[in-house]
This record gives sequence, C-alpha cells and structure tokens, in this order.
Amino acid sequence: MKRGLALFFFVGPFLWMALTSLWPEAQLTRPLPEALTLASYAGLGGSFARAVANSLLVAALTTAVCLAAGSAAAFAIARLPVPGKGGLLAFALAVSMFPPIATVSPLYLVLRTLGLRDSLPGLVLPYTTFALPLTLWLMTSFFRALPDELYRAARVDGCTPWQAYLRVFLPLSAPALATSAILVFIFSWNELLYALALISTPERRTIPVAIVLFAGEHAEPWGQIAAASMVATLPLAALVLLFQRRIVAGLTAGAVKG
Amino acid sequence: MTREAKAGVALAAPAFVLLAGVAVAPVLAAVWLSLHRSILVFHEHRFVGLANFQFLLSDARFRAALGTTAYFTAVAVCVEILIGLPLALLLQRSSGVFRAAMLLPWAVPTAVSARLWAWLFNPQYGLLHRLLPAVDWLGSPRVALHAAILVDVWKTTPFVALLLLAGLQSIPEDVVKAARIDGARPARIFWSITLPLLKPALLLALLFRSLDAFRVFDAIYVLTEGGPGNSTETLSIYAYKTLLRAGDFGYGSTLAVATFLCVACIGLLFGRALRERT
Amino acid sequence: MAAVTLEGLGKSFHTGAPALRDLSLHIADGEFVSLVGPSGCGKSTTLNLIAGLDQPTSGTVRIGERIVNGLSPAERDVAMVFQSYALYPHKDVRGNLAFPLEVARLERGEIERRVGETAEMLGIRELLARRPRELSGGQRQRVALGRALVRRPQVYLFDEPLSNLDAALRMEMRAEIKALHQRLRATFVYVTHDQAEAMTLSDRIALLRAGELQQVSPPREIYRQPVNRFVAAFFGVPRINVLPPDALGLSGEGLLGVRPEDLEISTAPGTGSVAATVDLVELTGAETWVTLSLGGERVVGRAPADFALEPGAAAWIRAQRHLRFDDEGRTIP
Repeated sequence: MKRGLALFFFVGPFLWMALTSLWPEAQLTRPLPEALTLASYAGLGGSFARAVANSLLVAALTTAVCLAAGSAAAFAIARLPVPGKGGLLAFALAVSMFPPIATVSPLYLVLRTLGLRDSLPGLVLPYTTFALPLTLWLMTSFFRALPDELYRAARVDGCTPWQAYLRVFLPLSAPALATSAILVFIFSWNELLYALALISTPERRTIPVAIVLFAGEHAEPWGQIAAASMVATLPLAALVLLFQRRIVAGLTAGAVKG
Repeated sequence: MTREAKAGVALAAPAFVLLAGVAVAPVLAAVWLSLHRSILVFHEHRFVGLANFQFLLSDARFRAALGTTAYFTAVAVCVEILIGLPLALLLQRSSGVFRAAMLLPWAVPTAVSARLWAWLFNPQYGLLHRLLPAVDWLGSPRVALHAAILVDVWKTTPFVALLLLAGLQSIPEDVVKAARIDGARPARIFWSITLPLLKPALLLALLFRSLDAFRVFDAIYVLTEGGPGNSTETLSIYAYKTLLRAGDFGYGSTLAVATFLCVACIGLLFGRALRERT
Repeated sequence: MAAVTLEGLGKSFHTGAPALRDLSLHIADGEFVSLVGPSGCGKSTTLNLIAGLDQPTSGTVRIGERIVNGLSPAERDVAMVFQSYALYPHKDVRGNLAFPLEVARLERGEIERRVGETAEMLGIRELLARRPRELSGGQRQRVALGRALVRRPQVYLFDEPLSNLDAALRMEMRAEIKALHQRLRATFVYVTHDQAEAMTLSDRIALLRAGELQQVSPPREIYRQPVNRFVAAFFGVPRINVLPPDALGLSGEGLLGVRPEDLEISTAPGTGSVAATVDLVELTGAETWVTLSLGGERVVGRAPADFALEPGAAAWIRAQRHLRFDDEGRTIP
C-alpha cells in the first residue's frame, strides 16, 4: 500500500510521459489515445540525434578528466604527506556547493577569449566544478579504507610513489572508479545552466538544452517532447537499474562517514 | 621535501589547479566584474565601484527574487524531509528494484522532469488540469511557485530518502534490539531511538538540499521562465536573465555574487550546526 | 646478505615526544634480532627507518657498508612481511610473488623461475592461480612470506607477522620462520609485542621503551640478567614479583625482583622462609600458579607438584634467587 503510493507518485509521471510519447499528435486533445504510434520518435530527426551525440561526448570527456585528475589527487590525499591535505578536501566540498550562476559570467568571458565558448570541450571545464569534488571524495574515502600496509608493501617491493599509484592502487580502485564514473556521467548528462549559457549554435546543443528549447511551428509539440524526454531518460534508467547499489553507495559515501 | 611529498604534490596538483581555475578564480572575477558597468553589446566596460551594490539594495525585483528563493527553499526542503523520512523507512525494508524505481526521478535531467510536469500542468490537455480543472497551475502567480516546489519535491525527495537511509543503516541493530527488549513499542523506538540517532543525517540532508534548492534554476526556468509576471523568479534566474538576455555583465555579476554570498552563509551556518552535533 | 647498523638514530614526528631517541644497534649479517616493547615504544618506527618508509630525524642507517639514509625502499634491497599481510587484492598469488621482481625489471623467464622456486619452498604451488580473498589466514601469511623471499633481499623485515593468526597457527608459523632463518642464514629483523615469540625465535632481543633502547641481549640473558626493572617485568608470565627486601626477611637497600618460578612455596616453615596466606590457586595445565599475600604485598609463585592448599591456608615462601633494583630501577649486580 505504502509502496504503491510511492510508486504512483514517483514513477507514475514517467508512465504518463511514456504514454504521451506514443500518443498520436492529433489526438492529444482527447483524454486517452485510440491507437499508439512511434511517429513522435520518428519525427525527432537528426538534430536530436545530434544532441544525444553531443551529450555523450561532453559526459564522456568530463568523466575522463575527472577520473584522471580526481583519482590521482585522492591517492595523494589518502596516502601521501601532501602539505595541508585536510583543507584540500574541505575546499573541494566548498567548491561543489558554489552556485553555478556565480561563475557563469567570468567563465563566459574567459571561454569566449579562448575561442571555446560555443564548443563542447569548453563545457567540460565548468562541469569539473561539481564533478571533480565528487570524484575526489569518493576516491579518497575508498583509498583511505584500504589498509595502510598495502602502500608500505608496494614501497618495500620497490615501487616509487608513482608506481604504487599506477600499478597497485589504480587497478585496485576499479570499483570506486566505476561508481564515480556513473555519477559524474549522470551529472554531466543532466546539466542545463552552463550548456544553456555557453552554447548558442543549435548543432552543439546537449540533450537538456534541446529539450528546453524544443519548439514547434505553432503549439508546443508535446508528443515529440515526450519522445525526446524518453530518449534522454532511458540510458539513465538503465544505469539506475543496473547499478542501483553502486549509485546509492556513492551518493551516501560522504554522508555515512560524516 | 621528501620524495613522498613531492609525488603527492605532483599527483594532487592537476585536480586542485583545475578547481581553482574553474571555480575560485571565476568567483573572484565575478566580484571584480560586479564593480563594473559592463554591457557586452555596447562594448561598454568601466569601473563604477560599489554602484551596482547600491542599486541592488534599492532593487525591488532583487528583493522579490530573494524572497521567492527563500520561500522556495524553505518549503521545498521541509516537504522533502517530511516525505523523505517515511520513504527512507520504507526503502530500508524494500528490495533493490523498488530502490531503483525510487531513484529514477533523481537520475533524470531536471529539464526532462520539468517538461514532464509542464505537460501534466498543461492548461489545455494536461492530466492534472483534466483532473482539477479549477486550478491554473502555471498561469496563476500564487500557484505557479507551488507547482515548481512540487516538481522539486518529486525530483529530489528520493535523494533525501537515500541520505536518511544511509543514516538509518548506520544505527547499530543492537541498540534497536535492546530497546525492544526494554519493552519499547515501534512508535516509541522511532521517537526515542531512531530519530535522535538520525539527527546528523537529517542535518546533512538539510544542508545539502538547502544549498541546492537556493541555487534553483533548471526546474523553474523550464516551467515558467520566472513568470507569470516574475512571480517565480529566483535569484539564479534573475541573474541569468540579466547576464545573458540583457547582456549586462556588471549588474548580472552583482546578482551572482549576492547569490553566492547567500549560499555561503547557509553553508557556514548549517556547517557549524553539523560540526557541533557530530 | 648484509649487516644492519643503526647509529644514533632519532625520529620525531610533528607532535608529541620523539618516537625514537639515539638508538644504536648493530645487527650482524645472518643474525635474527627481535625488536620488542609495549605499543608506541618505537619498534615499528625503527623497522620503517630501516626499510626506508620513513626518514630519520638524526643518525644513520647502514646496510652492509652502505649508508642508506635518504634512499628509497627500492634502492635498499630489503623485503618486509606485514601484520595484515598486505597482499595485493587484485593480483593472484603468482602476481603477488612476481610483483617485486617486475618492478625491479627482471626478465620474464627469471621471474617465473624464482616464483616457482619460492612457491615450491613454501608449499604454495597449488595456490598460485588464486586471489588473496580465496586464501585462509595461514595461506595468506605464507604468500606474504613468499613475496619477501622471492626478492632474495639483503635484509628481511617482519612487522608483527603472526599477530593476526590464531594460537595454533601462530605456533606452526613460528616454527616455520625459525626453520626458514636457519636455512637461509639471512639477516632477520623482527618486530613483535609477543615476548614468547621473541624468546623462541631470536638470536638477540632488543627491548625498547618510549623510544629508548633498554637492553640488547640473547634471550636467556635478557631474561636472567635484565638491566633494569622494566626489562625484568617485560619478560616472563606471570610477571616478576617486585617487593621490599624485608618482606622476604632479607636485608639491604632497593627492591627485590623474584621470578615466580624462583619462589619456593612449602606447607611448613623452613630456614629463611616467611609466612604468607594463600589467596588464589590457578591451574593452567602444566603449571599451577599460586597468589599469596604477606604483609601488604602480593606475590605469585609456582606451586610444587604435590601442592594441595586451599585459599585462606597458611604457607611459607622463600626466594631461591633474586635480582636487586636500586631506587631508579636499575639492576644492582
């Protein structure tokens, strides 16, 4: 009963969206459709496929940058005597709480100067402000949970600190890297404000921007909007179903440890 | 410096240089910009000192946006915690599939969730409109903000529930067992044992969600763009419009800096409360 | 293989008292030396300084003729066995054994030959394809030992390697380490807090306290001729009895130390014996330990074979031999 209520509120709207996406556009004025059709999906066309590709590219690039920089820094913080390392994590946490609106104006001007404003790689930079702290926290708590002796063993076995990172700790951290990658991917896939502010060429829009700026000739094409929303949601639904445990663990890692 | 420390600095540097470059420097630059009159299309850029802040204090639209943002944050976060707590208790006794289903609203892009609800609210054919024809969800100034709160609640309550679930799971089972052996009934256990031990998790959820809700942009921008008649305009939306629609980088940055200061205050306040509790 | 020489070694961390103060110790080539002491005494710090995991604040570490201060562990040619084994969880046993050789860039064939030899020697050949989590505690310990052996280093370092094993397995591995040392005749430096382990394994034992070396001696000597009261109390279970001379009917200054096995207990008075009351009788199997009170003092003694007294009964005790400590706790010869 309680579960039914929760499912109705949290999942019901999705089902309605799914139904709308299959609803013939001409019949949207009726309470229910008489037949279902894939016409809305077919009507999405190349520009939306373009947006999907753009989102994939930006999310993948952001994930790659954050995992590379984040895991290295996390290893250093967890295992090496980096000066002032306690403050570094707090600093990263604080940065992740910055409202994006506070950085958008200077970033706009800087990226414009660099010729990166209206470009997908240019989006990766602002995306690291929230994705990198997340990776840092997750990876640091993972590396800290490993026994201290593992690092000492690697050193006595002849590794330099770099080798200990690359040959022992990095391969070991595959599960935490996967969790970070999933979360960073989801956040980048969903981001709207920077993408809206920095991207102006329609061909470079990411999915959220495309969905927001979806416009028809006269009225809003709700069938197509629903279809596009379904396409944007399905990869995430798959991630959530497959990696529910990992996502929950990743999201709450900081919370449990305080 | 030892070899260890050298390697540490080298490994940590890229991440922190990046963070400083894309977050700290821009915030400082925004402060600098806020001291200028800077309008892109007119190629106008000159130092005006605190004039923008002076204007800010007398700007009724800013005050309205601040009020709207505060109201949105307070109501949304309270409702999310009130629903999130029972949901967390439910999740604790539920399978992975149910958890995954609850996670879905959290995972979808806010743009999608806002569009989804906009369709439900649609004043002609929307499902909610059909069920409750008397309510003009997005067209009436008083209702629209609450509609936006409903979308935010729908989207982020699962996240609140997850944070609280983690808190619930960190409560040792033996403590609950002991209370049962001591003869406490379930309701008594909840109020006397579970809830007090959950306080750190509750505060954490409160902190995360307040900071997040205060900078709300996506949901409202997609639903109403701040309308009708600026009635749902939050600080982020006002700043966004000033910056990118009007191209006024000076005053837009002033609004952005004001938003940043508000968020920083919330963070410091809750952060202190959290440290005292734990 | 090589000797290890520590000269005036000191180590301070940012906070608190120095972890190690002016430690000088020569460990001969092929010698088995245990470092013992209560937790926080500096024994693990010493091991880390020898390994190069930490740098000393003062003094020098020499391995063979070479001063190794400032050298990284890789350049020191030492191997170490850890308490938690510290096996690489993502590598199988073969990968764990091969890792130090791969880092040292040995050629493939040589690595395989050495891994095979080592696995053979430790009887872990059939485990080579397994992951650490699929191994029992004893098997993990063997692999950890193998990872040290495969290097054929100048010096072997052991950091409480048996502490995580249960009692029976600990005895077994203790014997194995002893046999290994006799076979390799390599330099072993062994940190433990278990005095029995140190006693049975070592050629010499070094006892540390609060960062200061108290005594370095062969096991029998450190037990029989401790330089001070702390050393005397550290070795031996039950602990040495310490009491004023007059309690035992003896004269002289300072305090007396009497090991429980040196305390003769009888049911009738004899020459030089003093009266006491039986408080507690503990049977541990081979031995029976009796706690008695005399005056305000409590002493523990080993009961004779025919001991049959109940608590509350009167008994007579006599110290067969004793140590004498001065007011600063030093042993008076």
